[in-house]
Amino acid sequence: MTHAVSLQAAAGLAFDNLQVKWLGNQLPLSIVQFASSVKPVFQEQDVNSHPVINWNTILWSLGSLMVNPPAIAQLGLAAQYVFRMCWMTNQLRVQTLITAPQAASVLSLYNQFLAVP
Amino acid sequence: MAYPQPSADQYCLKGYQYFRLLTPLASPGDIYESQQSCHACCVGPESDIANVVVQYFDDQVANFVQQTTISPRRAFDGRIDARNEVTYAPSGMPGRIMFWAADLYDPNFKPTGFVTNTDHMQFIVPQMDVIQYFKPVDALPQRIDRQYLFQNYSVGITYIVVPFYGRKYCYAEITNRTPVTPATIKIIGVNYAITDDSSTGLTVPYHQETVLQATASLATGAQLTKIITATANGTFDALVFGVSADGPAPLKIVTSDDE
Repeated sequence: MTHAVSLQAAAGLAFDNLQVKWLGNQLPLSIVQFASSVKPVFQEQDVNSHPVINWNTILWSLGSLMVNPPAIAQLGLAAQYVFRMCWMTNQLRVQTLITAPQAASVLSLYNQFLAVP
Repeated sequence: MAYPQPSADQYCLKGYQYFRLLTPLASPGDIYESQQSCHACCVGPESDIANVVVQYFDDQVANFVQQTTISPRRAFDGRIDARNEVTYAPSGMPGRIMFWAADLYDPNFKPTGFVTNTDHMQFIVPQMDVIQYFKPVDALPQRIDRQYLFQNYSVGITYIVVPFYGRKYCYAEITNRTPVTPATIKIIGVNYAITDDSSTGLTVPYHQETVLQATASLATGAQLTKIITATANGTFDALVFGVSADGPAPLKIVTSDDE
């Protein structure tokens, strides 16, 4: 598994990192831990945070419904959602629609829950 | 800029018959939302993106998350309720309709053989066009053909990346109008992958590239015409036109959903 140094790198490494979790039967738990930890970082009242909240909702739902071992199609979906969520977070940070600490939190939580064996 | 996104609320409150979300993708992770219910959803005529996922609240499925994918030839013709009064599980986020491109896009893409110091990337950023109808409609729009015209280029090879999601046909014609030197062109079909190409020096990206036209040299006044079809060549997320020319070399590209 590879720690990501940026949100763009985190996005690009999503498939490789989640595959390790998948092979170790840790994918559902890791996704739920990640998503539940991201939730308090963004507030529903802040419309600019909605794109990240939306991705987190979609990812969290997927993770919570997975049963070990998840099908390979679910690995693909999860990787795609994480890929898109990281890109979206990066884009909102670039446009200063969310704060740098919020974006840093997503990257940190990604490395904590999705990029560690 | 795609964000902050326009709100569907204003269109509904003012009595418009539809909310049209027409935007270039700001990133591969773009996701848009609507808090308004609708009678139909379809891909709009100007969309480069071919497949759009629509997520909505459904009481009778797990976590209340229901999804459908719409494409230029497959609209969703039926009522979709936004359900702002209830919440998705387990996140607790209020109900709303969400849209995102199911197709992949990578603004960091560089083709094999790209030379950092001399070559240049130029992306035609894909547009997403989604229409939410607030009243029942009889006919839904078709996706239009797209036409691109280029003529002068950067030093080195200029790689022009043209969206090709769901397209079945491409006509490309280039003529070298430089007075002395030859021009070159090559055409590559690309299917994007999820890969870390965020900086140079990383492992070879996972994108799939298919050479559709090997590098061809065009003498002054010479012309090359290329027709690419889904039947003969397959389907691609994007077509990459690598052109080098010291002077004018008009390049016309037409993409279509019909072969």
